[in-house]
Amino acid sequence: MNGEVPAAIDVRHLTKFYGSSRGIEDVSFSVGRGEVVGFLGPNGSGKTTVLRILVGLISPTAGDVWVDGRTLFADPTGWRARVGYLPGDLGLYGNLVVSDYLGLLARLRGVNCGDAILRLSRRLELSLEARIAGLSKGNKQKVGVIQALMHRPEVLVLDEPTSGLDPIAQREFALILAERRAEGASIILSSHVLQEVESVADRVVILDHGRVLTVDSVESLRRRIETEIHLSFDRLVDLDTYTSCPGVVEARRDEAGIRLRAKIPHTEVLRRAALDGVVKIVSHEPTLADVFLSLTRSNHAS
Amino acid sequence: MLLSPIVRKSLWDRWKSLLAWCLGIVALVSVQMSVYPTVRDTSADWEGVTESFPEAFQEIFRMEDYTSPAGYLSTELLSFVVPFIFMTLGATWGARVTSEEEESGTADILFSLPITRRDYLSTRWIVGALVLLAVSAVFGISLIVGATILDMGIGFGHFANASLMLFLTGLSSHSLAAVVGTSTGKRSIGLGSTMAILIAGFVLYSLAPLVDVFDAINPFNPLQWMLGTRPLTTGVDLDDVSLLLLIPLASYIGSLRSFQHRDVRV
Repeated sequence: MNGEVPAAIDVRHLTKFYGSSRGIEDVSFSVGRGEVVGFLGPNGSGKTTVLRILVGLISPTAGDVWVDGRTLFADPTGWRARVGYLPGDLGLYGNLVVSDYLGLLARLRGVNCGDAILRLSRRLELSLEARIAGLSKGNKQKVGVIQALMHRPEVLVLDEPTSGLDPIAQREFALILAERRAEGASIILSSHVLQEVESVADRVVILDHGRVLTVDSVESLRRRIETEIHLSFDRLVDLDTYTSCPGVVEARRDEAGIRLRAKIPHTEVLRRAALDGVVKIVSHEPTLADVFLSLTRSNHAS
Repeated sequence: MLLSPIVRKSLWDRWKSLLAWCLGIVALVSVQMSVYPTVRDTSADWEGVTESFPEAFQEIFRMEDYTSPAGYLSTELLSFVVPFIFMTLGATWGARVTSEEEESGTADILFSLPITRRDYLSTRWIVGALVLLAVSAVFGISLIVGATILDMGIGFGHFANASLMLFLTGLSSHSLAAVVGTSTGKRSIGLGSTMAILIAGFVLYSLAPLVDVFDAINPFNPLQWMLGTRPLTTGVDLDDVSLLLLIPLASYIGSLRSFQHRDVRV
């Protein structure tokens, strides 16, 4: 748990078995108010299972979810009134027009969302008069996004929210998400678009084979993996100077200079290189994708 | 709590189908009643024909008084065809009570809303019951109109009895399909298993006059409760009505218990 943000949702040791096959096992993490937690994992890693438990669609075999000091399962209906959920496999009533569909959901929620629906549909450039069956995949996704946001929920549970959205809609969606976050909404977001998670998430939960591999901030995760740095000099430099730098795992000489494998930050390496008169630095900064691949590969190997 | 938006949507989604069922019932009643004057005018010939049928056959299809208005309508409409229509209609609506949303992939959003599964299931269950009530009323009204035109001399109360028995027959089928559909989340299993049970019950009921073992267990057969009464002549049997009310009651409780405690399918 991020120490600066009080936990709004505290997931403790969630386990779900489907018959004898494991869905997730001993999954724990927390989400603070105004915090965005990204969910990453290969297909079948259990991301959707966790999200469906969080909205009460399925029950855990063991474990619990605590919200404001109370178990979610004590008042699931009250909890769902506070949540906006966008499922990964979006199913809509194709025979309805968009406004009727959203109106139906609003009535079932017992809230008047007319203005919010209008505002969100304008921002996402979605016609409210179109029949859902005739919409493109991206426009159907916009309907899903609006129904999840229209009642201004305190908690957003979003499974692949930008799937099928065009870049303009994706950008608008990111802005809306940022606004909701600034208002204090807790957001749990699962996505295969790692850049998206990297850009919006404060922390990331990486799942594999139903278990949590790690829960950490994007920056801390980046620090965990090694980057390759190539330093070019116009003179011979002392290799040992670099080997002893913090974070350096391996240093070797090549014809143009020195090639390093090091964890970030590379402050000390760069300081030394500057002193040695470095003429060229080529570095591949680790992305969340690198972290994800590194962690899941090592998990598979083990 | 009844969820009125769900009531409206359920009826709106199926209004064409509901209209077709009603028109079908009216057409069936009209065709069968239009034949009755011929039967009445040639009653002596018909009595000879029906008496030539095996006794068991006469028993199964209630042919003991074929040429009288009540006997004719009982044989042609109430012995099998219309009850079977109500069973099918009931099972069709019952099987989709919750599984329709699960199979179409719309359940995830629906059940993430702040509505209880009990309210949703109860609403859909009641909508199915209302549909059956409406179709049984259409059947009863068609009979009354036809009987009045043809001067059949059957009291309105008897037609109300017939409609009640058909409603209960359909409701039993509806509730059985609902309990299987809500337990499995699969419409085809709900519909298929209910129709299989009812057809097995009908075979048992039909063969009971011929097979001693079947005859011994037939009093416990729901089809006997559904079809064994003579609503147009002797009225309804309150024991059968009570037993037929137990099926929906028990099935409704079973549906609630299973649906509230299982995972929503994707």
